[in-house]
Amino acid sequence: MSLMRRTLVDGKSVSCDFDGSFDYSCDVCVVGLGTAGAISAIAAANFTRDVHVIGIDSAPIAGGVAVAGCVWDYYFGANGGVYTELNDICDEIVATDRYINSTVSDKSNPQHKRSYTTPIRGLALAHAFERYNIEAFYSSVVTDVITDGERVCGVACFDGKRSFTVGAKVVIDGAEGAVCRLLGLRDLGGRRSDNKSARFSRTVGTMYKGNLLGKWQFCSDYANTTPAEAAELTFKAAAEAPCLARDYSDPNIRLYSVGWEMGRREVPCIETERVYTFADYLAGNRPDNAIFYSFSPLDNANPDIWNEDEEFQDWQLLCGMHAHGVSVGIPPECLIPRGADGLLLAGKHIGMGHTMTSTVRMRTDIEKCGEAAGVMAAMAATYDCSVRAVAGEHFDTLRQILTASGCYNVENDRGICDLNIRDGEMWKPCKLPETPDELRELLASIHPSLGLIRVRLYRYYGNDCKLPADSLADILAGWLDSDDKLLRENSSVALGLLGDRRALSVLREILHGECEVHVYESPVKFQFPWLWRIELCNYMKAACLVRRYNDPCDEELLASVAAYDGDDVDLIKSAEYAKVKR
Amino acid sequence: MKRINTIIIGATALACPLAASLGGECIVVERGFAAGAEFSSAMDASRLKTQELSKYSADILAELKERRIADDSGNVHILAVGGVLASRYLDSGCKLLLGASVMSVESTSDGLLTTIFTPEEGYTQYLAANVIDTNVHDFMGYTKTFGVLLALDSSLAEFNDGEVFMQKGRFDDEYILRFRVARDTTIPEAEKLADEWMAANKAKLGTSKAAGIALEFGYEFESTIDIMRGGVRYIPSAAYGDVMSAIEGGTAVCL
Repeated sequence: MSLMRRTLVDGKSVSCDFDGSFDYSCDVCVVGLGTAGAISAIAAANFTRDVHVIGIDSAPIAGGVAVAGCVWDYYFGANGGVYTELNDICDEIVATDRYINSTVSDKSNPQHKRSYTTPIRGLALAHAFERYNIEAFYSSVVTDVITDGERVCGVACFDGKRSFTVGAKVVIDGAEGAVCRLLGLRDLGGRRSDNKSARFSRTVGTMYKGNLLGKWQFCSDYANTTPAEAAELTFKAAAEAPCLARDYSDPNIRLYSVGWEMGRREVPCIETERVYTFADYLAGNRPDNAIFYSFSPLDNANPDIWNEDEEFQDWQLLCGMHAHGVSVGIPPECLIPRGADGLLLAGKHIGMGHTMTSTVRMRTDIEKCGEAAGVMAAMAATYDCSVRAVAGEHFDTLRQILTASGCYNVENDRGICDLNIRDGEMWKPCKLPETPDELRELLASIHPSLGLIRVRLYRYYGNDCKLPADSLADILAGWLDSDDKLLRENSSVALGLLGDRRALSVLREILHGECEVHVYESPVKFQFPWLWRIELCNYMKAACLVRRYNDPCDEELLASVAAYDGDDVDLIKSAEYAKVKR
Repeated sequence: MKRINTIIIGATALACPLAASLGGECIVVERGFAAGAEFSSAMDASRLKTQELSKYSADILAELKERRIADDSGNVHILAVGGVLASRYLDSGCKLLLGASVMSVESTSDGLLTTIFTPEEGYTQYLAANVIDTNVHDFMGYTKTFGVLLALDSSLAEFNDGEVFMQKGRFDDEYILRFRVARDTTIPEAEKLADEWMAANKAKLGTSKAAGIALEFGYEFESTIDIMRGGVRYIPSAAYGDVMSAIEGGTAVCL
């Protein structure tokens, strides 16, 4: 088989012969030394100390948004992994007292203690790369991928002055899918309604109460952008974002860092050997070969949930779960792109899909992803086998290595947790209702979320649940006749989550009535102000669900809801749900 | 292949008035994602030229002063300058490409065949009548510098001891340590050098601490450059002593 260079010309895939002569060679080449890629490089180099790792990044420094992007603060994410070693180096640098650190006022939050400013984390990575003999090429962009049939065996790069090639046994794409795009591999796109992806944000480093803080603002809505549009957005953010467009009279409000690049909350996921989506999670699929667990709420920064995928709406709107985080186990096949050998993914672009990527994006979780990719790559290079074999025949060894470092820890599988209730360094797992009586009690209250999510997860009850899956819908339908208004309405929402048409009568009744909003504050005001105040609005839920049933009888009712053009925010949102056709 | 009148390489301070002058007839190709990075991201807070400015430059200086980014003495909060230049680029009407690399420029009978690479679309070719490169290149004579932003102590004294020098920013306790480094030094290597120097020279730093680092290198030139080479006109923005001088230099470029 002859070696080929594969790239894009005007957005289209092209290929040409490659003469086989590499300027550099290594075992593992990590393209993109961001949050995941930097840890991939360290984990791969640490595998046996004989693994030669070369890293490439288009930025002038490693670490991605956590370093050059001023995204310093992390408040969710599961613990454990080789990244803790990097944190230790950061702590040593902090102890020199030569640097202003990033610690925010909430000292009760251990997660914030893992925040480090650009100079601290950048220097720590420089030391770590030196320790592990990782050769890094900065300010270098990958322009071509070199393949031997379907097997990726290297990349071509350009550093502004010269082109050079790097041959590798395994390549890790830590560059948000840049390598995959050059290969013409398929991505999963954005949300289904309009294919758009989540927002850009602009982050800068400023001072807050004597400490440095990464302060961010959204600088775009959901968008798919051409390079020219992205460029305009980037310069608009530089010029107009409030954290940048200010007056600098006050010496307490000034810039200490400006991100080298805008942060992307989402990048298109690559189609992988297994794609594990949030719809899979809600349907009860749980991989039994997870290599790390993540923890986060779904991204709450969503301005138009009515355009979101149904599984996102189910969780966030219909079940009202925005004050809850969820642990997700990721299997190794999500890191293996379909259509290529010798290639792994590390970062938010692994095979998760749009909704899932909004919950697997916290720094420590992406670092675990990077570690898993690094170990898999090192194993493939050392054992001279394919990355698929690492995920298959060598899975037990992979799991052992990741367990030893803390990257894989079954205790990180915490299910669903209440983000207002702390449990050590993490949050308290929720007890979902296990009997019809417990379910009824929740659905008769203004706190129905755990009952609703239990219904939504009806296919995955676990051994401890006494709710009868086969007759659950009948039980809920029986509560539709209750004199208790909340029980009646919440049961109709629960039936709507099951797609059961018996919900329609009460859902229509809700839409014919007033829009009632129940507001309650969490009794435990712990950490995140945006989670203290929870709202229950069954009118909005009914608008969403009745539209889904798509019954011609409801066109007039939905049109009257959609026609609202007043100032009531809840009614405006309800109107949007009523308009969206599925 | 696309046709364009002028390709400007580098969304630099000098290129800003050029883009304003050319508008939609030019495309500005920037390797990074910031405007004026050779000063702002490089933390080159050299005192601003404040006199004998053209109207274009004077308007920018007026905004810098109005927003207290610069004071009357020319001290400047250099990190905030990039946003000001970014807004001017947007006002110019030029086409912008960020995160883009100019791979080659070849002189042909029809014009300058320029190959540009972006991660999203790969290679794209443009045929341009003019290519103006405002970046720094190895064939130029320069010294490379790396900056560290200091804060918390307003009693420091500016100094220049050869390898290291200190510049004053706009705020009382804002200083920039700048290190002269070898040409092949990377940012991480420069950061290590700076850390070692700071550890060994605490007396010069008072109670200040490092708050930020440059994410681009700065450059020192003996004089400005404006030369043709292989069909490309090279006018490095960083060769001007400060960001206002570079902007003013751009207004004086004859197109």
